[in-house]
Amino acid sequence: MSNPDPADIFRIEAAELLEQMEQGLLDLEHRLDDRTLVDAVFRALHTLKGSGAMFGFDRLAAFTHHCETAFDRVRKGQAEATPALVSAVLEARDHMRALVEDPSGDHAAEERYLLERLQAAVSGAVAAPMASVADAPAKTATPTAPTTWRIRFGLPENTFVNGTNPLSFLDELRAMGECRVVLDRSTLPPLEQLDPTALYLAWDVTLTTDRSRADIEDVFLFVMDDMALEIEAPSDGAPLPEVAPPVLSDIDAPARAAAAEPPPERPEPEAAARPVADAADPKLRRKVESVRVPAERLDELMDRVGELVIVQSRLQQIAATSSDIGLRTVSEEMERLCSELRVTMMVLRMVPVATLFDRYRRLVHDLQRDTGKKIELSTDGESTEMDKTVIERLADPLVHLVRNAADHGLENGEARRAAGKPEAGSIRLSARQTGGEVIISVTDDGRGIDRARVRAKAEAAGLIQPGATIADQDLLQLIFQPGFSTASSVTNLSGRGVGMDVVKKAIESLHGSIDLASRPGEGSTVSLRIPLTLAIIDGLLVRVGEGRYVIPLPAVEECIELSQEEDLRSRGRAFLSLRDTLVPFIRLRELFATGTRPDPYQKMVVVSTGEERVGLIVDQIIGHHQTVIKSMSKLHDDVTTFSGATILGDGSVALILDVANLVSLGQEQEAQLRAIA
Amino acid sequence: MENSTVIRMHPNLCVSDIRASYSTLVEALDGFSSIQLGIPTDAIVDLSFLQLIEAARLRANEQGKSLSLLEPANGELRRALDRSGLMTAATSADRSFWLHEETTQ
Amino acid sequence: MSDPALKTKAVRDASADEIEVLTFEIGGETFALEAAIVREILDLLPETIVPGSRPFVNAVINFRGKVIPLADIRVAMGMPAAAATIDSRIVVVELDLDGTPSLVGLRTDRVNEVATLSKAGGEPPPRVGLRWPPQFIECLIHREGAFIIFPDLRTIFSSKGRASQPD
Repeated sequence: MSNPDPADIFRIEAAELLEQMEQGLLDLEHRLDDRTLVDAVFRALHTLKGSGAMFGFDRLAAFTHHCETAFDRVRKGQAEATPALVSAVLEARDHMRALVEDPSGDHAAEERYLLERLQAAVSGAVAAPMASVADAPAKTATPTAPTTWRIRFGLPENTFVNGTNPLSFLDELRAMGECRVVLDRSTLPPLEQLDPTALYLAWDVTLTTDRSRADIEDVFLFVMDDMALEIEAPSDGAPLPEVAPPVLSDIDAPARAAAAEPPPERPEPEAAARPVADAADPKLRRKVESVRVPAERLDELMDRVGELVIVQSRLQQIAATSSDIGLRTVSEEMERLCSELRVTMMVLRMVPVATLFDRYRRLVHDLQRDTGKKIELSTDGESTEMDKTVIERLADPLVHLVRNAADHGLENGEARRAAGKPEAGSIRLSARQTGGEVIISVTDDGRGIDRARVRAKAEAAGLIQPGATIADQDLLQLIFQPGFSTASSVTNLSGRGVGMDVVKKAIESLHGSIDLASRPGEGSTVSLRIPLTLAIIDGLLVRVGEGRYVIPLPAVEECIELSQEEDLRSRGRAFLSLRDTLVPFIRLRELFATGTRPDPYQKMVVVSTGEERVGLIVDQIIGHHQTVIKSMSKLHDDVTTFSGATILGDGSVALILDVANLVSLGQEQEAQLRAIA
Repeated sequence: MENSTVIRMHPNLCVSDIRASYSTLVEALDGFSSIQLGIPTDAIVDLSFLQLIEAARLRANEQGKSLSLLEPANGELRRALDRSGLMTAATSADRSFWLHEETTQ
Repeated sequence: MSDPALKTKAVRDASADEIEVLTFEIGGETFALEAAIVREILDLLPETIVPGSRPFVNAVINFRGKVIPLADIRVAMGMPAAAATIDSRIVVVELDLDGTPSLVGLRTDRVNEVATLSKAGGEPPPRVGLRWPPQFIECLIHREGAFIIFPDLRTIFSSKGRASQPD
């Protein structure tokens, strides 16, 4: 294994952060009241602490925490940035670098000195409570008597998708003292508007604890920047309304600026409480803290999670037969953690398509030069996320589509002017997610596809009979046929041996599909529908004999229970009548030679590959299963019935059926049975 | 429109599979006036499922439909309920829906 | 669990004569593989049958989150079937299959030891009088009055899988 040490990756990141921090501090020295700089330094500190802890630089994380706390107070207006504070943190920053480079060295004396300086700088910098901030400044000392805090919070909508479990925050709060957690459902949208993967709920927590406000805030450390959080002690302001419904709602970033000011129709006693995140600068908020990780390391992590799941299932089996309550509890906890870990893993591989779209700016720039056409590239939906591998594999097909649009789609300036269009042609790249798919489209406002030329070309190539009637959409689809190229003169851009058929193949290899729409004179749109990820598919888990198999869900048309009568009647025949059509079917029990008795009620799963359908007869439909696809070994290259395998929750392997192959098998079988009859 | 149905949910009631659960529920609410949900005792449940069921309850209420659980919440579901704080200030309707408790308040 | 000794590359003599091997038993015969290719020795795991596969690789297992094929030398050699025992183990080896490093599990009745053998003492399988397909055997090595069989995994894996019995 030649993988770089994770610690080295962190060191690279840390060097960048320390650099940012230093620049920020140096600028801050001259502009002490510049909030943007305060925020920038705070963020660098915050990220350094978080990543440090993640990579095992605990000492660094602990030390940085003190500086972060100091800057957090400045950020919240509880303290002022002073030259003393800036120089104390600058010195502390040099020490952080030492902690990054030599985490195990003896730094105790240095740390004590630096923290004393920091403390001195901080205590001299406490701001007089400002009129707009009614609540007490955070106490750095731990209160001796337990305080009752009221904590209201709403988490970002993408909390689930980010793999964060809100329940764990509640567990942490509960661990701090006597705690009453009330769920606020008032912000739940109507079912039809609900995105089931988004989080809408909020909480109102009353916590009696001897811990400080900072301790409570620490619970939310890694989501703090994007959430709405209010923490108040009852003594801070007006007495708490006893059963007032929590009014916090989770809102996205642009909306939150408005929400920071309480809407007039909802007078709130805690008008002074503000979301922790500063809403002043949306640009800063947008900045995502991230760590770069090579994709193969994620694959390794995925494998480790797979192993963990097996160990967990063994533990579960042992626990199930044991009367040891402790063991059972641990086992249950393990199970929960494992399932959460799997969910988290699935979202880790996702990256925004912006990383893809950005590559085409340069391409379009070059295309303008080469074609002599003016082209404006616009993009939208760049924040749509897809699996990294998928994005990599889309890069080349999209290059071809953009080239095609520039070369064949867009007219030259003269022709555009004559057609009353703006001189600069437009190419638009857009991405949006619908369900488990992302639709990426390339749209131009050019001349559209010349049907007559397509037809002539197709006839010449023998793809259609001369003069054959063919639906417009089918005619357009001919462009994807191998060897088809509409450019009557091959330019140096398109048509260099790569046709649209190659694009189509590339998209199909991603389990995606390609569509073309075009209006003469107005332009064309090529849309690619791509599954979110290659690594994961939605599947239907079925049982055949004693084996469990996964059928890719997009291929499933319907599931039908066969009555015993129908089942008997179908024996020796190749078709089942489904409503008005005959569907060829395959008894998977026979195909797989399970040697088991069929379940009394056989189920038929009708799958299709576009036009052709086939019924797969199984013993049992177990349910939906989101599946991490593993490829099959070379030793099973000869087995074409399966396209891959997956590991189920209990650690066992289930094979994924290759629908295209089964459909053609069904057709063959049908032909054979016909021949016999 | 058919009258009533029993929907047996699959055991992954987490965000990874929540879209499937969502369509199951929406279809059921569109097609039936009375729906009973069977939730496997060994189901893995997270907050996204509780959120979904709460939204489904609201919808059922609005449309005068009946949505209920086959069995009172137990196992992972019950634990998720407790951890979420949903039961802390539960109304009698909540208690009756989730725990099949009769009104005693 | 794996023996660290198995993971380190077999250290060979300057003569390249001595090799470190893992010996194991199948159907009462002793087999050996170069220790350098052995990744891990596992207790039996739940197997998933792959319908339609060649009989000697009829299953897959979950090996540390990877799906790997499980091969059966017994089937390839046409030896009589036998039930698993408490001594049965899966030996996971890493091989180059068509240019791709691949992990493959091998069913064994028992794993014996890591030993150092001299390949100089090895001889090609006799053309006649052998119960097994000779092309599946790389060589035989005499040791303490018995034969140790070196299977030719590459040939086995590229075969059609229907062990042709010598007449």
